[in-house]
Amino acid sequence: MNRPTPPNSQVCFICGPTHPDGLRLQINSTPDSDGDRAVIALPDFVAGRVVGSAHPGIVTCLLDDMISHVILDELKANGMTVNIKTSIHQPVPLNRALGLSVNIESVNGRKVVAMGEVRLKDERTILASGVGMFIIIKENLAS
Amino acid sequence: MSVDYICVGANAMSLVNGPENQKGLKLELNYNGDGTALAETSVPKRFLGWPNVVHGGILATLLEEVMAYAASGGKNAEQALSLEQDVSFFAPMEPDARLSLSAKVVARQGAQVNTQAEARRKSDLTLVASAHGVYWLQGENA
Repeated sequence: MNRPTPPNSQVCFICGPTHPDGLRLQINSTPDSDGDRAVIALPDFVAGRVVGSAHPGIVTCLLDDMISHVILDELKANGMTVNIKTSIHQPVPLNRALGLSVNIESVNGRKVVAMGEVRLKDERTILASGVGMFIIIKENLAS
Repeated sequence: MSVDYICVGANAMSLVNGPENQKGLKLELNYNGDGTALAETSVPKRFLGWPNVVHGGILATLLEEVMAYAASGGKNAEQALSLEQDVSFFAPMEPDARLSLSAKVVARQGAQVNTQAEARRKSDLTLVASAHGVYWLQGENA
């Protein structure tokens, strides 16, 4: 189920719903049957060095944004990125449906560690994975 | 400091430095003889995460590109395949302010090149983010 974009993300390049030049990623509050919380086909303007592929940094953008939203959904808190490590297993193609999944691995005080994956939606081939360490900066947010 | 490298040809649409990408960042990269890649830019407001804060993933994107240029020895960054990037964030960065980026090679074995990079706010040299990257140079002997 899609849920409203949080107020502080309205301007976000990745998930801002009315951003004229953004990716407008829609993140669901619950995973679909594949375990994905979002599906996106990346447009040509986020290309990287490999022709037909997304910039590796944009993959980090997607994972970072997804983790932030999952922390908000599951912990009702705003999380800020401290560190994110992304592994690119294969070039991430433009203009193909990608499934994005994130799971929170641990919560230790204000420190949250989450893992995410980017897969081809249809074939389920894993293209990239990442681990993010976030710090909770604002708790007890309304759902 | 002269501009050494802007994407041309097949990847002229690159988000970071493609001259034909009207929505891109148009980063201009330079390479010093000591193996350091350098760049300076201002991130426009369309790349925010939260209000008045540049998206951390965009900082990661800029750092990745500078590291790729260092990994390729200031030559053809298209040959540098990104395997890993590990980015740490230290301070929020506001849009439209000057940002200095630098990257260097820290290890190389065969076709694998390890790099590190940092992004600093130019006005006060505040460390905004740092990164480590692992690249595979196509066409190099492993």
